[in-house]
Amino acid sequence: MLVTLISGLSLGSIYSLVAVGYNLTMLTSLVANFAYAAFIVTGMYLTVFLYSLGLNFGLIFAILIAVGAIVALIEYLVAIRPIQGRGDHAELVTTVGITTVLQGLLYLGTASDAQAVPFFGSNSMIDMFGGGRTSPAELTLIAVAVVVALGAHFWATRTRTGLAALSQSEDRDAALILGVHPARMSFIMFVFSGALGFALAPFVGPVTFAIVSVASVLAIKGFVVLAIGGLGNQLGALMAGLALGIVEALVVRYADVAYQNIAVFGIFIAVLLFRPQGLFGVIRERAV
Amino acid sequence: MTRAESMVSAARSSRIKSVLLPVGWVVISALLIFAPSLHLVNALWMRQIMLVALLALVVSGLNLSFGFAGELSFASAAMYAAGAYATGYLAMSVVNDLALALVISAVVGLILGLLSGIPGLRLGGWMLATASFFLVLLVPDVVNIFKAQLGGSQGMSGIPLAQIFGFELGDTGLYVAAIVVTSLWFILFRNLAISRTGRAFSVLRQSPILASSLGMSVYGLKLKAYALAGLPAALAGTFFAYLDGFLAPDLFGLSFSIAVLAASILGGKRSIYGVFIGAAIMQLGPMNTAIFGNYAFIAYGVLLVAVGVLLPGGIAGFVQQIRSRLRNRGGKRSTVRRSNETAVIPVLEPLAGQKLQVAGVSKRFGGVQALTEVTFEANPGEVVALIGPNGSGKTTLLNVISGFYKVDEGEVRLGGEKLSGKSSHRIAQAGVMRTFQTPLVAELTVRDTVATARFSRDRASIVETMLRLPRYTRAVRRDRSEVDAVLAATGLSDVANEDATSLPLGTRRILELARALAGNPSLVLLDEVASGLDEEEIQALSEVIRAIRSAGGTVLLVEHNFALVRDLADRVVVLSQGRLVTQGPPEQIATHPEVLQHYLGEAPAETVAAGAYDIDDVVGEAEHFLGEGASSRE
Repeated sequence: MLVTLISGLSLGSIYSLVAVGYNLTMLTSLVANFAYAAFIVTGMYLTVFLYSLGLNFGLIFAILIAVGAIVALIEYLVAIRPIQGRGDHAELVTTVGITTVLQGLLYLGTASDAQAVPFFGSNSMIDMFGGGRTSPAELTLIAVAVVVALGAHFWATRTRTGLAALSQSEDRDAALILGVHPARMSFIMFVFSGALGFALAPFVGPVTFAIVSVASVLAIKGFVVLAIGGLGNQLGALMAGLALGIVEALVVRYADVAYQNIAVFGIFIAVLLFRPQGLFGVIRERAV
Repeated sequence: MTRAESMVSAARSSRIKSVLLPVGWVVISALLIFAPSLHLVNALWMRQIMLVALLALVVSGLNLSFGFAGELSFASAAMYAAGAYATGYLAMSVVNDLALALVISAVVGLILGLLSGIPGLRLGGWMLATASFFLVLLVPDVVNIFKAQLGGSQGMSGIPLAQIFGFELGDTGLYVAAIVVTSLWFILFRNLAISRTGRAFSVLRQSPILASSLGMSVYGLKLKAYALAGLPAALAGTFFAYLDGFLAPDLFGLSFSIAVLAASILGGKRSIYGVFIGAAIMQLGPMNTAIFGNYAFIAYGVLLVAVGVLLPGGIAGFVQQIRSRLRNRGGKRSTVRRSNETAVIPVLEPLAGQKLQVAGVSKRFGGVQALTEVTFEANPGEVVALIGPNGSGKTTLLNVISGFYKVDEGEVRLGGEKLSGKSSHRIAQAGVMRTFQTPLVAELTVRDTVATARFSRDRASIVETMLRLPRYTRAVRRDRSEVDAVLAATGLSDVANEDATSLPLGTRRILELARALAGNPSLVLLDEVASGLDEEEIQALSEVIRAIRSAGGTVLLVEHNFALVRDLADRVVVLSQGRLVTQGPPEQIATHPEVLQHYLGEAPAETVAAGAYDIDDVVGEAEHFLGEGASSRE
């Protein structure tokens, strides 16, 4: 039971991390970067490659951050900035396009589909109370998710730039008058989220394996978490992600793996129907 | 060319078009249908053409939801799979009949569309995209759960050749059937796209608020388009199942959905015939694994980004742009201003005005009390003006009446019927028509803009629209005659065919009024209808408002221009800080000490009593003082 819980939490941590990444750009540019999950997966393959060169973890981490920032910068310049404010869900199409390009490149560049991502820490299994074992990689991932989500929450609610981002996501014009610079802010946050996505790869990879198609699944689950946790709510994203992971682990443990996604879909639909603002969100009245 | 001549030539070209288009369609379809028996195509090309046709079917569905309803969906692959698996199961285990399979597929596609659209459209945007994307992820799971019936991940093989009423169709027969079905569907699709419903979709896409203020149910319309989108995809699935006799879940993965999306935006997401261009390019290009192989994914992605950024209208949009540029170069640009010579005193058909009762209405936004127990009435054949300083709650009150805000306390009634609590489109359907501070018009001609107000008044279902059944054609005829009447009465006949968004502000405000009138309103709400207009334009506008009153309509007018208020209003209601200060005839209001105090901040009681102040000076000074046009909560 405890093992199921831990594996659920570590799976849920990944969902939370994706949702937190969406929220970051959502707050600054009202665009959820669909490619964010593909960033994490691309980072996994890069991690495998860099380990194979014999580099140490610190250097690998730095390279991941740099490459992530550059990839996100390119995405921002090519697929986001030219169409910002056009409406029509244009950025939905282009960010899906970026995801598809990344996935295509990975399919080309990697021979085997699933690759194990080495964990930088210990690989010895830890015995748990009540039987069963878990890996340090899983526990580390859970801790990373909690730290990142709390950090993002702190940023959005306690820092000057975070509050500025929040204000311009609610009323862009008013924020402009008060001296907030939305364009610069959305640019910086895009680059930052790219670096973050790649940097998460060595933590997520050892738990999931590097698999190209995982990017689409994570991308979707991230949105489900966003819907449940409430758009823009980082604590909501953390809780909803972890809860979703536990539900999935329980379904796999006590029912059948074929029902794993169906259960998530059911929850997602129920939330949309009965609490469309999410479990932690608030309704805002529209104005003319 | 004179206007009359140009109208004749326009009519002739539209008549030519109305003959050429169907004839051309039949000729092309027939050519494709007979191509195999005339040995124009070999088996390989027959297959390719059929795959293009099937992809075009699926893409047309996406165009319905993405291009027309404005909601991106990835569900195409799931709908396609649903049709294919339903057909495979039917043919192998129940009865092998193409016609029956098509019917069952269509039903399955519609139901799946409804089931995923009902929750997904609650939020729309990213959430609909997610729900539809998720549906595609579930295809392998569902196929595995029904392993015995659907073959699981190993695939479903041995689907027999298609039969229809007991006759076996060969490869050519299946091909012909696919072309016929595609050709027929596109006639229906075109009929829907170019119709009152198609125009309602463009209103809804450009402004959901405008759409609901015209009585259109945004959710309902989107759901219809989204559910309908599943139909052609599922039909295509039926043919796909028969084509190879083999189905496996990975044929219906996300890569297929993304290819469909790429085809849609490449051809043009709002196009009808561009669908075939997009589908052909994708089918013969990146989707053709023999050529692109592992590069297909990259090609899809690059297409999505490049076309999404550079060619938002796709190839069809690009062609149209060039055509309209060429056309504009030929003829002189028309003067779009409403001509004044036709501005005779407008006379309107009688309106069934109803009594508006606002009783004890309060509205709070967070910590701001926007309205406090406001009570007043407006009667048929009466113009009531709502005045007050900026931020006094005038526009909030209009939004409460038209249902964009829910009342916290109190109620609004129209003709005794309770409005408060109803959604905005229901309130519009109950006869409340309005204009906006910044005129809201969609990219339509003036005539079509006015006609959009009649969409929810004179209903024709989607099926009636697609088949051009009598109820639809009757509604179109009534649209034309009533819109003509309103255009003539408001002096807009001369600009009837102009693009509404290109009109100058004054004409656009008259257009908004005309649109409100076409909705046969029992109550007209006008939000600062004169702001930004010159004297002449205000005069024209006043004539129309007077005509509404003479026709028996009820008019509620939010206005800053007190001269206009005095000129038009029978009664004035004064708001300040969300409370009703006083109400009465304009002359009385003009000298009301409390009103002056609210406008000036202090009461020059003696001077007013002495009659030394003219109200216009006072108001003018007050407005100067308050900083007219400064940002306010309205």
